[in-house]
Parts: sequence; C-alpha cells; structure tokens
Amino acid sequence: MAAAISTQRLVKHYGDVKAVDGVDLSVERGELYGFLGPNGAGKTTTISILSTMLKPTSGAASVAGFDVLTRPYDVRRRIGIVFQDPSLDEELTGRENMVFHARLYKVPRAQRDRRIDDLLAMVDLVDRQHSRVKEYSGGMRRRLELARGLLHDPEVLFLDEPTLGLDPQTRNHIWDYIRRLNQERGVTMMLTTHYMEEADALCHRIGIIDKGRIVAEGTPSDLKSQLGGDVVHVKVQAANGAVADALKALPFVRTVTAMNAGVQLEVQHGESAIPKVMDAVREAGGVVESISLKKPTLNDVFVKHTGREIREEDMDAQGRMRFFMRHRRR
Amino acid sequence: MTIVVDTVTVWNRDMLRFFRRPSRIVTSLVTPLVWMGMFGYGMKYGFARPDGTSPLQFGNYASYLDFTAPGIIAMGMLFTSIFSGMSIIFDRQFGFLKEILVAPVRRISFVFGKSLGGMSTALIQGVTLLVIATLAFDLRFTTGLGFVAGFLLCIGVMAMIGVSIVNLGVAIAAKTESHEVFFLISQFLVMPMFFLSGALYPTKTLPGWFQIVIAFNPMRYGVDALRWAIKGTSELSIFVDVGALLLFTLGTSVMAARFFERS
Repeated sequence: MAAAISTQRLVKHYGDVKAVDGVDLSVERGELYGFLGPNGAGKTTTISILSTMLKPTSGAASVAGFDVLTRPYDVRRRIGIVFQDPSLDEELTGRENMVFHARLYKVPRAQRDRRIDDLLAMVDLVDRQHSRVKEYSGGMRRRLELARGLLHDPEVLFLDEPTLGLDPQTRNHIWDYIRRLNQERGVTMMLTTHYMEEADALCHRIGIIDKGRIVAEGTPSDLKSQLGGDVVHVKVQAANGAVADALKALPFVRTVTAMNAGVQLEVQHGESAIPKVMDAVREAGGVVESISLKKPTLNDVFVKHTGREIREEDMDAQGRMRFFMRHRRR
Repeated sequence: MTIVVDTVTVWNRDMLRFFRRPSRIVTSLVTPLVWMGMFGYGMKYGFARPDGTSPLQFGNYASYLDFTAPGIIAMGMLFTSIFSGMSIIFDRQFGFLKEILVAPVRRISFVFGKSLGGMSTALIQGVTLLVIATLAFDLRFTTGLGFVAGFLLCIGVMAMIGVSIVNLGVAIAAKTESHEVFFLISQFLVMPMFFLSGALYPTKTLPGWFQIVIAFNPMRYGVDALRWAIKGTSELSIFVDVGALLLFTLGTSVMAARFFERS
C-alpha cells in the first residue's frame, strides 16, 4: 500500500527565507511520525502544505493517496488537523463545535450523535459538553480539538504542537489520548513538536528538522544509539586505580575515564551494565558509594547534527503573541 | 447542492451565536430608537411655529418623525450589517476561520453563510424597529398597498439592504488585517451613505454634484423603497429602487466572494 504521507523535494520560500528547503518524507499507514525541531524550523509550513492550506514553491506531496496540489478536496476529506493555535468557536458549546464540524465534513446524520458521544467520552468531556468553550481550560480545549479532528474518521491526523503551553499533567493526558487513538483506531499521525520528551515518548519515528531541512531521521532509539553509549558514573571509595583496570576488562565497556571522585564509563546498555559494574568494583576491592546512569537524549542528537541546543533561542515576537493568545482568559 | 448545505451550516452557527447574546438584539435597537426619540421629536417640536404647525411637516407626512423613521430604520440596519461583515476579522483573529478554510467546503459557502446570517440579524432588527416605530412613534402606514403587502415589501427591501451591506463588510474585512482599520474604512463609508440616503431630508432638491454622489449610494434606493412601501410616496419609481438594490446586492456578493477567495 502507498505511504500515507509522502513528499518529494518539497520547497517553500517566503521571499529570501527558505522555510522548507527540500524535504523528502515518507510516512507509513498507522505510523506515528514526529517532526522535531526548534521554532521556525519549517514544521508548521510543512503541515500547512500537506493540509492543502499553502501551495509549495516547488516539489510534490501526497496525503492519503491524493496529490495535495491537484486533488486538494480529496485530501481535505481524509485528513484531520489540530492546529498549533486555538481554532474553536468560544461562543459555542463543546458539543456545538462538534456538530458544526460534523456538518462541514458531511458525517451522516445517523452516525453523527453517536460518534460525537463516543469521542467526547474518549476525551472525558461528556460532563462539560454543554458549556461554552470560553469556560474551558487550556487542556479541555486541546482535548476537544483532538476529538473534533477525529470526528470525520480521517485517515491521517496532523497535530501541530499539540501540547504547547500546557502544564505537565495535562500534557501527559494528551499523550495518553494520542497513543490510544493511534493504537485503537490505527490513524496515521504526524505531529510536530519542539519538546524532545514528547517526540521520544510518542513517536515511532522522528524526523529532526532544522532550517527547512531534515537533518536526521529514524526511531528514537536508533537516533540515540548513533551517539554512542550510555554514560555510567560510579563513585567509589578507595582502590580507584584497580577499579578502573577491572572495569576496562569488561566486554561491554567502551571507554573508562578516571575522575577525581570515581570513574565514568561509556557502555552499550546502561541498565544491564550497572549490576555487572557493581560486581566488578566489589571484586577489585572498591566500595560503591553511588552510581548514576545518563542516557543520551534527542537533544544530544539535535546538538550533534546542528551544533545547537534545540531550545536555545528565545521566543520570537510571534511566538510571544501566540503564547499570550493561548493564555488569554485561562 | 453541497454549497447550499455548507451555507446553511455557517448561517446556523451565526444564528446560534446571535441568540446566545440577547444583549446584541437590544444594543442594535438602542441607537435607532435614540435617533427617533431624540432627533425625530427634537426636529418635530424644535422647529414648530407658534401655532403648533411645523415647516418640516409636508406631503402626507404627519410629522418629521413620520418622514424620517423609515430612514432611521435603514440606518440602524446599515450599521449592524457592516459590522456583521467585520465578524470574519474576529473569526480570523480567534483562529476559528482555519477550521473552515481547511474543511472540504468551498470558500464561497462561507461568504454566503455570513451574508445570510448578517441578513437575518438585520431583518430581526429592522422588523422590530418597524413595529416599535409604528406603535410608539409617529410612523403611519399610508401605502396604497395595504398594511400586509406594504409590510412584506419592507421585509424584501430590508433583506436586500442586509445582504448587500454585509457583503460590503465582508469585502472590506477580507482586505483588512485588523478591526481598527476596518473601523476606519467603514466609518468613512457609512456616515456619507447615511447622510446622503434621504433618511434625514429629501434629496431631490440638492444641487447637481450631490446628485451624482447620491446616485451611487445604494442606501438612497433602500430608504426610498422603504418609504414607498410604508408611506406610498417616494422620490423615484419603486421599480428603479428595487432594480438598483438588486444590482447592488449582486455586485457586492461577487465582490465579497472574490475578495475572500483571494485573501
């Protein structure tokens, strides 16, 4: 079967700015694909092109089997989208927003009510469905948008920064919903985020995008394993030299660096290495005082490919405005 | 067919929003009623001769208020309708517009839905004002058509005023980023449209260059047609009035659809 989303050399220029600069993507059906990158990397622009909101400067893209340029309405019928910025009618109730959407997407009347009930139940909004959206919290609005995006049973769901500006607890809830949707309904999902943990926790596969280009792609664990191993830091009492020698002899240890309060090891698989390291230290006559494990993060991957931290830049003016709009009246 | 369904969907949303806020109905009535009560009565009594007659009493108009009431009703609708068009700026600012723009619907159905919604709002306002003006103020139905036919013609004329002015608002809104700019442009248009509509004084005797401007003012035909439907007298033939209104409705519809399509 054809890929759910595919692009070939997708380019979008705004004057001199290359927002998207030759992106090749292929997302399989049922996959949860993450687009990870800093603000302004081209994530939202790519999503806008894929959802037929924006025409690319050059290149081709197809979604759910239809070309976004020649068959935009066929694409639109088959996709759902949760925008980065709020897109609900605040004067209407949650349910009224759902009904409006169902009518726009021609969800058959016979199924409409049951479908809305199901989705509202899934995102835990049944109790508040008759309240106006302006009375909703940020997390509730997000959940409603998520439910609305699924109302017409889309083949592909785009989630543009689904948890931006939400508190950690709400973020975890949203993550649960996204996972369940993907697993239970088999919806192909493409989400953009600049939160490393989010991409790591949710996505089957990640494309790291910077300055309009995909700089790395793969499963989260693949990407991280490219960096070398986990780092184990052992603090030992006495017999430092002997301990270091003993650890060097272990097969899974790549490098050993003696430090003033212990040794630092780079190992292949941190979790299973720790007990063996402890045994080895004890046999060499040392006493383990403390032991710590640091796994490489996607941030390290990003730094490796771009030489920058993913979150180093400050919010630009637009970002601040957006943040303000989101938090207004919440 | 699907355009009709989508238009109704958008219209339905506007109506839900409108009826959720009864204060909107009340505020849309306040300004015209103040005009009728204060300006209308002020003119009626302010210029009265010692014997109680007024120089502003002419033709078959019982008082100045009887003359000006149809024009003030049209003015109220003009203000309401132009701001109905502005609501698409708020839809854009609050993000809701994206929900419609990404849906598998034609943009034109959004424009039609908006003008239908604005028209409904304007009709509710216009009819309410008509009833109040007849019951509480000096407005008298003296049309040869009889009350029922006159009233129905009023509704028809009001509908055309509503659709065309909402479309004008949508066209401006499609081209402006912020509601401040919209305000500026619409004030620049709306005040002359009101003053040169014949709402406050007959326009037939104004000097030549006024006549040129007046000929291009759609409200002039709206007010004249309303006056004919209610009072039975008008400056132009009712057929000219209705023809001009139809043309203006069509023109603004095309303009709104085009401007919005390209925004």
